[in-house]
Amino acid sequence: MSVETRQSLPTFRMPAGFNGLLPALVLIVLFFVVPVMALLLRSVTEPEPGLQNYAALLGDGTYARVFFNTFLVASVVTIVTILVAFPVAWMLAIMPSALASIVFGVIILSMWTNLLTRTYAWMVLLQRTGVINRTLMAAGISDQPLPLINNLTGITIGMVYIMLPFMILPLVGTLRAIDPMTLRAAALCGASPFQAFRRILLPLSLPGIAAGGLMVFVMSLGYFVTPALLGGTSNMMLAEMIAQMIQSLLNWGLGSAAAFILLVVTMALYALQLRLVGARRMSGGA
Amino acid sequence: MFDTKKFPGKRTFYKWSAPGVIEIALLADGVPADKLYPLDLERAFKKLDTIKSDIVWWGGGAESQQLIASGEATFGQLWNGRVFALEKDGADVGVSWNQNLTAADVLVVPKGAKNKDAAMKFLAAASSPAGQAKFAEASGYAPINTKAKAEMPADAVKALPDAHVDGQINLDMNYWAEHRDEIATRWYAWQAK
Repeated sequence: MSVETRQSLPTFRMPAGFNGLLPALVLIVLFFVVPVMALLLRSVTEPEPGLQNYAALLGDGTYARVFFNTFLVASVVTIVTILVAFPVAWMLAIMPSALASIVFGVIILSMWTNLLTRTYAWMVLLQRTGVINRTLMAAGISDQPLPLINNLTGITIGMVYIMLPFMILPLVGTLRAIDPMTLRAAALCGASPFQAFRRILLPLSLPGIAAGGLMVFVMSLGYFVTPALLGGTSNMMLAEMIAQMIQSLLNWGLGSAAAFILLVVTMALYALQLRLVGARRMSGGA
Repeated sequence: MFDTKKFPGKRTFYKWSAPGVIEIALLADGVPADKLYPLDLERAFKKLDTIKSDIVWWGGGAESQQLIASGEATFGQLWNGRVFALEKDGADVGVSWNQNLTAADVLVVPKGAKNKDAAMKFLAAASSPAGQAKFAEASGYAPINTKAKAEMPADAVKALPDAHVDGQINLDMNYWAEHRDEIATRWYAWQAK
C-alpha cells in the first residue's frame, strides 16, 4: 500500500500503519457495518418500502416521550456523574501516588465486576423491602419506604455508579496535568478557594469534563440493563423500547428505524466530541 | 385489586401486553363477565389509571414469585402455578379464586420439523391421561385431558383451578389474536405515560 506511485494525478494513499488495523477493520465491517446496513434496509422496507417507520416514530407522542426520557436520563446521569467524579478525581490527582494506585485499583475493580450482578445488587439495596429502606425505617428516620426504585431515582443511582470510572479516569489525567502552582499563585493574589476553583481549576479541567461527560452521555443513551431493572415503565428509554418492538411486537421495521435513529444521534454526538476535544486528547494524550 | 384504601400496598401485574390485566380492570369497573368482549380499552385504561402508581410490574413468572415472596408487592395477579409453587416452598401466600381467569396453552410442532414423528409421540405422551395427571400434580395447572383427574390424588385435584369454576371467566383468545397489535400499541403507550 505504501508504494509511491509517480503519477501527477492526486492519488489516495493509505495512512501509515494501516496494515496493522486490518484485522480489526475486517471484524468491524463484518460484524458491525454489515448488520447496521441490514438494519437500515429493514427500517425502510418492512412492512413495505418507504419511510413510514420513521414518520411513525417521529410523529407519535408516545415515542416522542421515550426519546425525551432517553435524553433526560442521559443528561441527569451525566451531570450527577460529573458532580460526584470531580472531587474524587481531584483527590486522586493530589494524593501520594502509592495511595492513589490503591484507589485506582478499587475503581477499576468495580468495572471488572459483571454489570448485571451490580445492577441486581442495587435492586436488593433500593427496593421497598431492601436494605436501605429497612434501615431507615428501623432507625425511625422514615415511617414509609422511600420510592428509590422503578423510577428516575433508581436509574440515576444505578447508572451513575456504573459510569463513574469513565468520568474519573479522563478527569484525573486532565487534573494531574494542571500545574499546582497556578492554584498557589491564585491564593497568593488573594483569591478565595472558591474563586480559585471557579477561575483556575474549573476552566483548566474543562477538556477532561467534556471528554468524560460526552462519553458518559453517549453510553447512557443506549443503556438497556440498568434502566430496565431499576426504572419504571414510565421511564422507558430507547433501548428498552427497541427490545419491546422486536421481542414483543415483532415489529422489525419500527425497531430497526428506532435503533438507526439512536445510532445516528450517537454518531453525531461523537463527532461533536471529536471536534470539541480533539481525537488526540480523547485517547488520553491530555 | 383496585381499592387502594381497603387494600393498601403495591399490587403486581404482568408487564407485557397480554390477556388478563385489561379484563380485571373492566370487571372491577362493573362490566359483567359475559359482556367483557369486545374490550372497552378506553374504560379499562381509565380504571387502571386510578392505581397506576401502586403497580409493580412483573416481567416473568419467577419475578412475580420474587416480588410476592419478598413482600415487595403485597398482592397481585399471578399465574396460579407460580403461587402453587410458592405455597409448596412454604411461603405464606394464598389464592383468591374469586373471578379467576383461565386460558389454555398449546403444544405445537412447527411445519417442516426435522423429527416430526418423535415430536408427535411426545405430544401423545404429554397429553395422555397419565402425562397430564403428572403435569397437573407438579404444576398446579389444570389438565387438558379430562381422564387425567382420575389418576391424581384427591387433594391435588382440589388444588386445581377446576375446583373453582364458580365465577371463573375464560379469556377470549380469538379476540386477542385479532386485536393483538392494536391493544399492544395502546398498552405500551399507556405504560410509558
